[in-house]
Amino acid sequence: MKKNSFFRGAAIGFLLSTIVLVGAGFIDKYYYVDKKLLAIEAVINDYFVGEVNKDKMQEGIYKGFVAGVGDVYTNYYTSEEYASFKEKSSGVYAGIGVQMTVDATDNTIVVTEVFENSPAKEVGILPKDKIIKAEGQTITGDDFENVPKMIKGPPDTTVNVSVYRPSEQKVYDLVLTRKNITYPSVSSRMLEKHIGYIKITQFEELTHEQFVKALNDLEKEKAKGIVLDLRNNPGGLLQVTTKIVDELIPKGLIVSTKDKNGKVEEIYADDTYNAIPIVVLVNGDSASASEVLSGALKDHKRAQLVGETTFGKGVVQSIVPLTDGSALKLTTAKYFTPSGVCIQGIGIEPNYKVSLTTNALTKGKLEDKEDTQLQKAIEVVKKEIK
Amino acid sequence: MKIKKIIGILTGMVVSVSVMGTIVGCNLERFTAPQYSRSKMNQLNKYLDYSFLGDMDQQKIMDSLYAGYVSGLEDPSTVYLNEEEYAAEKIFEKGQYIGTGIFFTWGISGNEIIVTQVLENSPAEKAGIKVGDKIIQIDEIGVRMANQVGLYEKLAYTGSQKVTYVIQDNSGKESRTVELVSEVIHIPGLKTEILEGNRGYIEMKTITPDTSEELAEALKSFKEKQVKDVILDVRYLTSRNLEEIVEICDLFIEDQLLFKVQDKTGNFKEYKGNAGISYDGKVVLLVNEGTSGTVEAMVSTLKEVKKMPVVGSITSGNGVVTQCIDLKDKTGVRVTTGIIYSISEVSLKGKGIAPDIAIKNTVESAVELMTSGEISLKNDAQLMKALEQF
Repeated sequence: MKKNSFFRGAAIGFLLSTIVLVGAGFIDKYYYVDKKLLAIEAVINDYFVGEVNKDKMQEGIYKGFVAGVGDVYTNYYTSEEYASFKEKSSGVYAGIGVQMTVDATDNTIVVTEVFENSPAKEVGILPKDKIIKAEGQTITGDDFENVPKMIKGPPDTTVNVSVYRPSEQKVYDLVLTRKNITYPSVSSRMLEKHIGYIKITQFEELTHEQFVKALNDLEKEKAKGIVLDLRNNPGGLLQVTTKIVDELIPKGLIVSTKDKNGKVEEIYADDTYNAIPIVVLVNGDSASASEVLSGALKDHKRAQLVGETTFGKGVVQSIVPLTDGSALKLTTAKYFTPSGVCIQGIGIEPNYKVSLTTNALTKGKLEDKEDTQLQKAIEVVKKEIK
Repeated sequence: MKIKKIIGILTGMVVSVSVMGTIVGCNLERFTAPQYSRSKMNQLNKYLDYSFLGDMDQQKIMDSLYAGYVSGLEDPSTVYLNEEEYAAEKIFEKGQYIGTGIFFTWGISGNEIIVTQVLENSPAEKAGIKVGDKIIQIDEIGVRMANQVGLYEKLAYTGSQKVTYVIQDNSGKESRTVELVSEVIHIPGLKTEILEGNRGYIEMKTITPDTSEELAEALKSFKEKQVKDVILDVRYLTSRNLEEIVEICDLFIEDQLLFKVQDKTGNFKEYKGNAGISYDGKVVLLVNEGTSGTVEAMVSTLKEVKKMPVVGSITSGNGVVTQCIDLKDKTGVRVTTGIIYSISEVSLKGKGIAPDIAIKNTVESAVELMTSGEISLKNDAQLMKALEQF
């Protein structure tokens, strides 16, 4: 009799445990995924003609998984991509100080910009020079992805570069000493008497100090009004952007963000600010941080906007580094302009709508007088100075 | 008695866990996936679950995961096909089309999508949509560059749900709402025309099992009109049909080696033309970066064997043979099963075929396409260049 209850108990225990284990342990959410991946792997083993790189396929799984949420701003970065991303946002890297692109007409790599105070400037490299050799290797447009790796390196080390100058039909073999290059995200000049011009190409770690310096330089040159050009600026670091807004508006709300769990964060400007009249230039490619800046200035009536409706990116991303060097970038919050508007998918309307002609849009470099958007901005800022 | 029962239950559980543990231990490879790290996947999932501001469609995420896995092969011709794509693939293999019938490009301002082509007998044509019309909204998504991803999904959708388009006519004044459902549409394989100087022009739009016959007919018809010089335009033509390409090459080449295909074992299979009459007029080929797949075998063959002049821009470099494999759950994988080589043993995968006369279409033609949806003959620099070759 006593033994019966023991065995009954044992049977119940065994049955219950088995059910729970089988249910929870084996038919877990990865069971079907694993099974299907095995099936796909079998197909590739049986049929595929070509090289199989298992590491790349594994990275593909993570990339695909994250991309599957369907948000263009939410991605998985491999450790290489993450390192490159960090460098780009820092605005500093050790190299020779040139901006390059591929010239598709003859499949060569051509210099588009030479940065001030850079090793490239010192040895006399000019825009339009073609980089034909780096460290002894002949390079063509096909090598564009790898050229930065060949040219960049620890500061104070040397690199051999050969350039071909089409205007002289000469080849120059040069030896350059790498230096820490500050990527210039801000450029400035005087447009006419009393009107200064500042262009911000992207918001990186050093952009705020570069902006303050530019503003000071222009004021020294007797600028009484500024045209701030944010056209084609895709955005960047939010903290840097809010610091720039802080320079320009008196006490007030710059931007607020709200995350998935309803948590709200607000960023305010302090009392001190520069009251110089400003007009901001924007277009359809002014996005994200550019919209935070122009949205704040517009809502506080601190500056009028000239150009076209902005891109419409009203969401903020966070980056989560993973333990193996890779990272996850994901959309974590919406942001709202001071007047409480989320511009996602809508953009910010300018006060003055001016579009460039189709012809002007296809030109590489526009003369000031052909730039109708710039001309309108100058007209508007002149009125404000009076 | 209660205590005995409890001890019994506990013993039963311990036995169960031990037995299960042993089974799992012996079969460990079968229960963990070698393709990825579970802990990393858990990490990613945890962050997304907790912080991602947006909806997560589990089916879509899984399909995207499999697609990502296959894309790690870095072969544009080898892809995972989800349920909708797998069904559509069957249609594409036959050279037919499934969709709304709209071909498009982005307007220059980035705020509108311009219709560049409306297929005959398509749902779009029946709804009165015309070339040059502007699409300003699709379902709940406004047309802006910021919404690209969602917009492309809707435009490429081939399933049975209806999609709502808001169309603005060319003048920009009136707009109307149209609902479209994808349909299978038979595309005419060729479009023929006689151009100035009595030159024949054949635009090949798709490759179906009837294309070689249609082409033979078109050439015959030209001959009857005393037209012997012909431009064969295969720009933007893509195909995975190898058999029909052999038939087409056959029209121009007699008993000779056309091209070879290398299989998984490394062996080459040779494809030869049949003895018989071949076309004796002068033919010039027009190609560009949209010339892709088995079509590249045709271009390489006509260029190397028949010495036909090739005008335009370099082809896409996807000269491979593929097969669609069923994964038995309504999804599938399209796999590269062979690499096509020219008779001079140059691989057509990776690097495209360079034209004899390289010429790009101009900025003017791109602008014309973006503003009106069409490119007129005088703006088609590649076609004008081809005409000079006779």
